[in-house]
Amino acid sequence: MAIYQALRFEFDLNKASFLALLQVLICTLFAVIVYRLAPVNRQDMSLLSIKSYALKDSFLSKIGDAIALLCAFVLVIPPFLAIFDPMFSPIFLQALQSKALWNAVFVSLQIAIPAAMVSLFLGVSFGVLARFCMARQYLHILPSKLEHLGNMILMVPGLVIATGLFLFLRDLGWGLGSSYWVVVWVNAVMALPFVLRALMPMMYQQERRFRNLYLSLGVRAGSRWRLEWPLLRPSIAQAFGYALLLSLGDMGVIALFGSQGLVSLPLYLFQLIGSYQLEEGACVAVVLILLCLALFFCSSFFIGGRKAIGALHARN
Amino acid sequence: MLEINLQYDWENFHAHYCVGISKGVTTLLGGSGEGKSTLLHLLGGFLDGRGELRFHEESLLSLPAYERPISTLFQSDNLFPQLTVFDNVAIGLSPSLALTADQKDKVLWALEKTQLADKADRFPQALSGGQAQRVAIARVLVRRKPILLLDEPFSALDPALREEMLYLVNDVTLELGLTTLLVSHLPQEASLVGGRVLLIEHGRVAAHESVSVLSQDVAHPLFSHYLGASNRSTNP
Repeated sequence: MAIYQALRFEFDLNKASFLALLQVLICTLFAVIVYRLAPVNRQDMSLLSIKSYALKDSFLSKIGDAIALLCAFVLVIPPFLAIFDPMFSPIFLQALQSKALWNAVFVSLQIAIPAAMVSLFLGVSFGVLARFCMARQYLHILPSKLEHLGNMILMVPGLVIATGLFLFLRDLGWGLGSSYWVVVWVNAVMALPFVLRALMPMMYQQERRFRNLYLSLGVRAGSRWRLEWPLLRPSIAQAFGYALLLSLGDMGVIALFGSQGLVSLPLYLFQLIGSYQLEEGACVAVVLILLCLALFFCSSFFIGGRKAIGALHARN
Repeated sequence: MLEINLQYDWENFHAHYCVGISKGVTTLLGGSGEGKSTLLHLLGGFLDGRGELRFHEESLLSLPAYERPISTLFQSDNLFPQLTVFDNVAIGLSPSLALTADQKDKVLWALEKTQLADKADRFPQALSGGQAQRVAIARVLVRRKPILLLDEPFSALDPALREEMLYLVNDVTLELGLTTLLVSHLPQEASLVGGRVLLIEHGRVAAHESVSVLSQDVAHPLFSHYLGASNRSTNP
């Protein structure tokens, strides 16, 4: 918050960069302690589908489970439904007609789609490099380091990175015109840990099982991508979806760099609520959620190819 | 003649293989962790070794795996689950799966030969273990590489099926005039396919003999430790 103030209201760049450094220091210190203490996570993936065994439990415990589930249902579902409530008020139609809303939708897409693409590109590049280094002499220490590198953004808030990037670009003489690209880039990097989480297991698994076979048959580059695509596309769709949603919903970076022409949906929502237009704000929230749902669906439908995979299984 | 003089180091394991292997089947025997598979991986180009590797006076060591005159059958995962049986064989001819009419005929011929012609459109999931390894053998047939490496590919099959597969390997070796190296942990398998045996110990070639040493009344001194006392009584 202090960085935000220093940059937004006081425009004291020295103070901002000092505060950013301080935050990086604190976060790094904390992360180092956590990594020292945390045990190494060993994963083993099996392709065998999990068999389910009948559970032995009594009638009484079944009832207990049912009550617990019902309670969870009652507590969790209504807030979700309540979000959609403004859809039925007359203000909703009015809000839909406002030009500012559609501008914000457009700006959001303009940020989220390139950010997701950049994030996916970075994630795939990280994955390809990491899996190449896997189980090779001298290089085998790299994959975990690469993953840590990708997760670095979790240690340092996006706002801090954005500040650094902004100051850096300013030194290069790009000035305020670069703010759109700062927002896109930082959103992409912020989504990277989730993209990696979605991509890496499948990429590692392919490498572990088929590295020698690919090598012995000379299946490389394009041919290999074509072979792996049907197996990777659900993970890629998931990664792309995560990156999209994170960039759509992000409020940190855009709050700092948003300007008259660069108002995304969350920022617009924030501004409406800030000026006590709560009803309109609620409508905008509905639009934001619908947009998120629609984009995630598109991502898993077109990239993930649910149909294609279903067909593959049906043929077997 | 396949001439091997290879060194390889990984942490505490220091291997040095020095042997010449002639046409026909050679079975690699030895305990677990003695370096049988390491030798095969060095030959196949999946590990980088130092030294010399020559086949008919041509040096192979600087070649990447896919340019060596070698086909490999792995213990498992020889087939891509997303490809049909036909494509799994075809990928041995063209990584991009673009085949000429001639090559298509070749694939069909290999499937016929391995009794898989009716399974061409199936996916590997729908095959039994034996059928899956036969698809891999069909790929060996279309690739026509003069060296064949087998890394215990049949160890998961039941005895009768394993025997059948070994006969198939033997037939293919004779018919195509291959130099075949078979890693096995069962001396019986070596006796079945005949040819020669290599005993691998501590990353060294401890013995290179005709397979008949395994069936002698008094075990060969170099093999006696590996075979153990119990094994000899079953091999009178």
